[in-house]
Amino acid sequence: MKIDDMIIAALDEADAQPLEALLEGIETSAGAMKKSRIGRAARSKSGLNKENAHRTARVSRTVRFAAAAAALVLAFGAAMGVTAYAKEHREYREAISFFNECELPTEGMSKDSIREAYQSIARGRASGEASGLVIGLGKYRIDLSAMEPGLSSAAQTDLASLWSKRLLESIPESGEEYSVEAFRGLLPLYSEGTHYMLSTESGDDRGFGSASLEEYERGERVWAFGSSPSIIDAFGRFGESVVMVGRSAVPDGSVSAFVAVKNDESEKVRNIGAAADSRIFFSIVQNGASYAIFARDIDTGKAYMLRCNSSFAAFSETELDCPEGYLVTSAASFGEGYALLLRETVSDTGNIIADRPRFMIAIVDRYGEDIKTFSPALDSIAGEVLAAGSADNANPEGCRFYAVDILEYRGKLCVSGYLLANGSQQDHTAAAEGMTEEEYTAFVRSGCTALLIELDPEEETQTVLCLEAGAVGNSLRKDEAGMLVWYVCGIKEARLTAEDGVSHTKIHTSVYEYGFTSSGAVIAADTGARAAFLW
Amino acid sequence: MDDAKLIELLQNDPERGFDELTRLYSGLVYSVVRGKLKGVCPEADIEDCAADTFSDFYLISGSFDEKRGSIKTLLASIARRRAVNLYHKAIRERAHRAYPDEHEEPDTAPSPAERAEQAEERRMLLNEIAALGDVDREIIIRKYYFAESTKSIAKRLKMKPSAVDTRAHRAVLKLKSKLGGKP
Repeated sequence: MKIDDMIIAALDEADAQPLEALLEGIETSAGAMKKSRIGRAARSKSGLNKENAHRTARVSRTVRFAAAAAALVLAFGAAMGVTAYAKEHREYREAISFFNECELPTEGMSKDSIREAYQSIARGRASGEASGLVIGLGKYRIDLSAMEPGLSSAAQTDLASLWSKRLLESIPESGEEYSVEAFRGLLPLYSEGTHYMLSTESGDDRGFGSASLEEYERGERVWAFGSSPSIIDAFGRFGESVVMVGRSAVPDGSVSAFVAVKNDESEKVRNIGAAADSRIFFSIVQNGASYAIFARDIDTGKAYMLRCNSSFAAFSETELDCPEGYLVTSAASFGEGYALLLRETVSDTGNIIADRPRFMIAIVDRYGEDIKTFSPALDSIAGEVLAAGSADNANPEGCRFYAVDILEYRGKLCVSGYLLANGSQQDHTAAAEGMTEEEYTAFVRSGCTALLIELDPEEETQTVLCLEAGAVGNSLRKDEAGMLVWYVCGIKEARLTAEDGVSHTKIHTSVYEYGFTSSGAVIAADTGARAAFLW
Repeated sequence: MDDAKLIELLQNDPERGFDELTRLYSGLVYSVVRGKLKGVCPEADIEDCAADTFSDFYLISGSFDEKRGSIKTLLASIARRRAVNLYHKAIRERAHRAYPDEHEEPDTAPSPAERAEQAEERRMLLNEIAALGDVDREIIIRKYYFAESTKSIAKRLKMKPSAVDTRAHRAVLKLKSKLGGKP
């Protein structure tokens, strides 16, 4: 036996004791994500985390539905002789593969119909789009205008309307206007024909009034949870339960925080304890069998994480050691712990930053104790986006990126936001002087691009996954099959408005839902929702 | 956290103890497994094997005896054995796929006397590796146990790759001579 082989054999069979001297002082490492995956799998194998033992990837029901709708509509269109594309075997095979993945039958459909339906669903996935400039930049590309009635083919319009009908047959007009960030909290709960509305009535000078969360099934109110005088800060649906977190005013002038859990069987309210006036809960995140509720204190800028078990019966609070001057705006589960999106609110010199914030990502362990931060080079993306031609006549130096939401997807982090090519939000408002409303709308649309960015915290790299000109990237969620869903607000109108004596830009948008399939296709649909934001 | 405290935590608060265990040692366990399976098994199998190691350890942690080795080396030992088994299985499967009609070689396992001799030789070899200077020992362990490349070892030890190769070569010759072979 060669000496090399002898060494390897000896090491292979070494017991723990001789290894003590051999491994002494030798450092080893593995990437954070690898460690996280190993830890998760090990816990599962040891019976410590049964919930996550096996998760089978399934194609979303929404994707299947849309694919079926598109297939039917396009099959009909093809039969009428409306479309005539050259047959390409490769595309056909891709389409068949996609249909199989979606578990959709193709019997009775011609090759053309199958291929066209697939092309419609997976718009922009392949090359050859009119917007060829951005191919190679984003992994996905979709065309919002194609979903607007009158601009698109009959098939796409029907697909959009079918989707909208299914998702939101009737949305009560709330008349509420939200900031992009606040609106984010409402969007994730539009799903499967159900949606939720927060109804509030103004109360005392601290904002404690009548607050209720209402669930609607196809436009009809099914139930409501109300509390007064109180504020519901955040809510989420987890399986069959809807969880709300908020604060109530106590007669002695103090404030008490609560969690309410509502499902078909019961409605429970649990008191978390006293809370400061300035503390606002903003996110409830499920992580395996437990939950974390995140809060920020708008006076001190501090962030807090409350860990609780699945019955929300026991809480433990940890103050998160976030960088000074940054406020947590969004949280998501990530690996074994959580990822936080931080927005700069106070500069190094102590000035309040309202218009040109920097953003940072923090990765925190499941106990909220070990926190690591990094600043993704989001500004560098501006150059790529401009070079791709999604915004004309702008230079990367003047671009501002605004991050809105964060979500873990396939082991990486997705950040939704928007890039302003013509300066900051306030720069836009200042530029509106002398423009007509139409001109100003065109100006805002031309310089605003919704971006979905994938971050790799391990490598600290970022990739543009998807972008949409003339739109604002909003919230992110996963559907019931675990597939990524991105909400994009297409800008319809921008005009100047005065709030509290200060000029702002009010932007009216239509909300679109973009679904991402495991094969890399993108499906867009108009949710029917409208949203207005103030800049 | 010392071993006794970690074992205590594993017994009293398994979730937290397990978190701490994997936080401290998943880098080591992964490196040990990867050192054996790199290029033979897919990455997913390597990670799975590392996870199995922790699961094995958890099952026996109640009877942990630090006189028989630390948590670190016990994990390394479990990881390596699991990896060796997986390695042989993968090699057998690969051979079977390449030559499906060929029968397996008859078992040529060493006799008890030969096994005893081999074991003694390997024990001596491990002792000699441990007796090398710290740098040479680390180079040998990284090269043969963790299967790290010369470039990677050089980067870690802040040496030139040629220096790593030279030291590894000399160390191997030294080990060979200690075992009675010609240098």
